[in-house]
Amino acid sequence: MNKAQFLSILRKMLSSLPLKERNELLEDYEHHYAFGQNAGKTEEEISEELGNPHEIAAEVLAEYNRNQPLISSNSRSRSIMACIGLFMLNFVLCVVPLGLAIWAVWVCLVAGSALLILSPLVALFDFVYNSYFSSSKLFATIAMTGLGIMLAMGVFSLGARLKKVTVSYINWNMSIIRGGR
Amino acid sequence: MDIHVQFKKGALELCVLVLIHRKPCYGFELAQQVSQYIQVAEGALYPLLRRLVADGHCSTYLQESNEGPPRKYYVLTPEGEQYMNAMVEEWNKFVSSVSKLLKEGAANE
Repeated sequence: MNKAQFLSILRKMLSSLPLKERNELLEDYEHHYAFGQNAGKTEEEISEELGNPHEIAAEVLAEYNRNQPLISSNSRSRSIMACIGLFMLNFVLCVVPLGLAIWAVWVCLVAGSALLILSPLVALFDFVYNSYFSSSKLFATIAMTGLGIMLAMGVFSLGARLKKVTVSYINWNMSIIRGGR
Repeated sequence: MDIHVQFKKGALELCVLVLIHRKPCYGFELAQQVSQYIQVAEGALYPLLRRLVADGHCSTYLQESNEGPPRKYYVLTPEGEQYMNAMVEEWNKFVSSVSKLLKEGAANE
């Protein structure tokens, strides 16, 4: 292996290093070749003495990665990071708006079933106010009451389920902020 | 053989510290001197020297030369000297306990 080959392997393998650091290290090796040649050695002999450039680069990278500051394990800063992450999830990714929309739909269903159940009262008001009795209206409102009761049952179990999901979502948020899991 | 390599790497740092303590050296010179004592891939020297500088155990100065590029000399700092002394002590303790163990092993056989 000659000097150019040795240096190009190092340069390629150390591409993730900061440029200044990489260039300084490469310069060290370049100078080493120059001194070696002054001492009467060939490029091949010098490369042989330097050793495997792949191994050297792997060592340098391992050392560099060890010294990279890790995200602080300090629980306070961890909580802040978690809060920011949850904020992104909650607001940027629309989890909260979506949840609110689902709850709004549920409220409408509750109102709808209540109206259906109470529709005979509306018919009664109609009879009293307009003093006009129609049996078809009466039967229609009784049928609507039946529908309303069925809808109300569905809405009730849907509400219980929605509440469960919402509570567990909030608990999950809290547990992440506290750092427990 | 891999264990052998790891041994040498550990010893290399100590050798370099002691050699620089004797007198300031530039990289190539240091490589030549180290190879007189232990057989090691000389390329491992430069990352080691950079680390010693980064940790404050060594400092460097440049000296122009008539032939070839300027020489970067490495000098031991006061902290580096303390570090070297601690390491020498550790090394002696370690070596003597291992040789003691080896001797005992030989006696028991």
